[in-house]
Amino acid sequence: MVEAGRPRPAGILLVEDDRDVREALAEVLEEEGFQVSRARTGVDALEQLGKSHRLPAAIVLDLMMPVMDGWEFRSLQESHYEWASIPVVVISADTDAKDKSSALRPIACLRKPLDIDELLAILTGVTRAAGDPTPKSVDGPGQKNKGA
Amino acid sequence: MTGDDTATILIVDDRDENVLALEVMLSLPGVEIVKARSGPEALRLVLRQEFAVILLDVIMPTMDGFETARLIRMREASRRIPIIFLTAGPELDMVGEGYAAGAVDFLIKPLNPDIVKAKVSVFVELYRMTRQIRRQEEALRLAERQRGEVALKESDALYEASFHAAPVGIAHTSFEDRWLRVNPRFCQILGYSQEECLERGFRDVTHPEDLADEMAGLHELIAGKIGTYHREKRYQHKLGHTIWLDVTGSLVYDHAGKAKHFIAVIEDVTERRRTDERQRLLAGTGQILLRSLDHRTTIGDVARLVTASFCDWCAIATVDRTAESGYHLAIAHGDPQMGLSITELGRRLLELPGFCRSLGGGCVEMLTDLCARAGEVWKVDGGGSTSALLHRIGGSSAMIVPFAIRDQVLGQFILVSSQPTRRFGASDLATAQELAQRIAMGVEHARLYREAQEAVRVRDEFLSIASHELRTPLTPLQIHFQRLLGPRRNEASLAPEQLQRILGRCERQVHRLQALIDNLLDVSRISSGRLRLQIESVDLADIVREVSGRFAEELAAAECPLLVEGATPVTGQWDRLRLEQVVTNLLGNAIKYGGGKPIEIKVEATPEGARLHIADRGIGIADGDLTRIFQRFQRAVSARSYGGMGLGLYITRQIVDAHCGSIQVESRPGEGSVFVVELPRRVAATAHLETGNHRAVSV
Repeated sequence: MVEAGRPRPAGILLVEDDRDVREALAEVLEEEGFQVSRARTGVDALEQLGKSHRLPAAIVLDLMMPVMDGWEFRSLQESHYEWASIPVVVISADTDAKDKSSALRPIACLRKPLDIDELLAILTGVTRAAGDPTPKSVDGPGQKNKGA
Repeated sequence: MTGDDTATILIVDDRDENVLALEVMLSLPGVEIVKARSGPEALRLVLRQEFAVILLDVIMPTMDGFETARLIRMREASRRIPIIFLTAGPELDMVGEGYAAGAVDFLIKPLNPDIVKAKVSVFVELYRMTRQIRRQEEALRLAERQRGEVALKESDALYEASFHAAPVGIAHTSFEDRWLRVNPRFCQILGYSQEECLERGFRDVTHPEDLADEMAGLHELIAGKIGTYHREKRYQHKLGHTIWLDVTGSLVYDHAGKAKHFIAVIEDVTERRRTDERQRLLAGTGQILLRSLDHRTTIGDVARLVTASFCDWCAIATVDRTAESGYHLAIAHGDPQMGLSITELGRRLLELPGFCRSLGGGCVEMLTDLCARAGEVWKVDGGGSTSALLHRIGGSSAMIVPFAIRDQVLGQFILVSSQPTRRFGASDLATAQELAQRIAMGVEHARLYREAQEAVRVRDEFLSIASHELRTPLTPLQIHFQRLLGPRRNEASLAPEQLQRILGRCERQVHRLQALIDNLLDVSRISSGRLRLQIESVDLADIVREVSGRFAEELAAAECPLLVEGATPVTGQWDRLRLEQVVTNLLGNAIKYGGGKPIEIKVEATPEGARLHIADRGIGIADGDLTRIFQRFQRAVSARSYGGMGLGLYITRQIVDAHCGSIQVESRPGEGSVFVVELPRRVAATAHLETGNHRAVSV
């Protein structure tokens, strides 16, 4: 994990069809030190997983998407021997998001509009448990900002 | 004093002068004297007639007075006649013998006329009184007898009249089950003449299924286990049909207390049973119809219930747009041996040339012979397989009753009797109409309930989708605000251009929210007929260019190349903002469902006005969804895959309609869609919106 004395930032795969939501989230996560891969549909996400040399520490997954929705993506992800263990955080604007996503066994389900601090806390916890350097230890942008 | 009061005195003396003297002494009114010269002559007279008193001389030749008296007393009829002996100075012994021989008194000779008259008068008077009492007694007895006879006659006459005029049937039946005596009502109920009845008994007319019970009841009656036999059971009328009778029977005993025969009183309760049965049938039908809202099932159950108690077979046809024939047909046949499955029967009926056409008719028909009149009713030829089918399923008497709600025919109820003896009448028709009305209400309730359920489902789905759609732009808005205001962020750390960019994105979400809310308000306006057009001179080509420009960023993100064809102005009198909305909705959809493939927009002038084409090469729309997509809250795609409230095309169509234009779509799944909007150059003075209340829209 640690390369040439410098830890690589934890990777997050963000799967979200709405461009505005996707970009806003990606920007915040990147500001917090995560390396964010963006996917517009389930198919995009599978392609990204297939191409990546380093698997993401977590997947942030929207449910309602064209071409391939969140349920279908999760089913395929879980069927892959390497990808199955990647934890998933579901984000959805659906009123019954928690019930509808329970079959996907996510580590968390956040309802849109979501509390970004809650998402960050979850993702930080996940990356720390996985032994990845936490965003704060990468170069501590938050601390830097705070200190400034 | 009447002749009847004449008292006859018998004077018995052998001496004429004594007889004469006594005759003179006793010449009294109402007294007749009979004379005898000897005892034997007296005895002969006593045998022949009745005497009030006998004056008997003691001393007579041949037979003396005492001997004569004893012989008179020996005879029962004459032993109570008082005897007065005539004697000249009797000895005490003689007196004793006289009384022993039956004397009541003695008259001593020479006779004193006053004494004779006084003594004899006492007995004459006694005789008269006795006779009078006897006469009175006889008169009383006679009167009593006469009264008894009259009462008996009256009682007999009353019984006969009651027997003949009784409104119930009465029969005397021998233990060998032969009717001995029947009254007219009895004959009328069973349909047989009196003579025919007297050759029969209950066993001959009892319904075979009720016979065992009847015999058991009669045996209990004979065995004295029950005093009265009472049953409601079925008999067969002479004409062959079944009638229901209320039967009460008991035994008739003679004077010696020995059972002579049965007496049975019968009452025809067929109509009452039928009424009860119809009430049960109507109640049962109501219960079935309430049991489920799936009218295909419930109507089948109703058909079976009706067939079980009211007719031999029936068919209930209800309008069903999804069926090939346009009708759903429920059939029930009471004869399982008909040799034709119900499904096959239904198929064959629907195949009759005029069957389905006749179902839409609104006239009630009563047919006395369905087999003969089927040609007329169902427009079939008289012979061949149709005729064979009808003879197979039977059809003697039929009722065809359409059912409707608010003048809209919902179907038809066909009830058929196959038995020649069971012909439907007015009361049957009333029952059938009542049943048909209940079926209509059941069908209508089920339809309204399904529609209400569907409306609720659509509404709930819409609310869920609307909530989802409104939350989506709120998400980036909240993220951006948290970036600007959250505890880990500091305004000072953001460069002015970065702040500008974030605020720009926030504004964009506000516009998205505004557009969503506008759509919702438009739906509300359209529903209440408040959609107003602001007419002005508008160039449609200009609108297309402007809207396309607004979509530049999205087109780039979706990687959809856009080709706009229409440099020449295409002007008309339209509502600019509403037409912008039309182009926005159609282009937005083309990007959303376009699959990143090229989109083409073409605007051209037509002789009538303008035509707008918007074509994509995206996922396309299935045939079955093509009309649905223009309805409120309807979408051709799964809510799991695509966002959107299902309002865009609905609002688009309403705007186009308000402009008196038209919108068409051609599409194939996987190949894309082409929407074509035709607009007249000028909107008519008034137009109607296709809304719930069809309110006129002023323009």
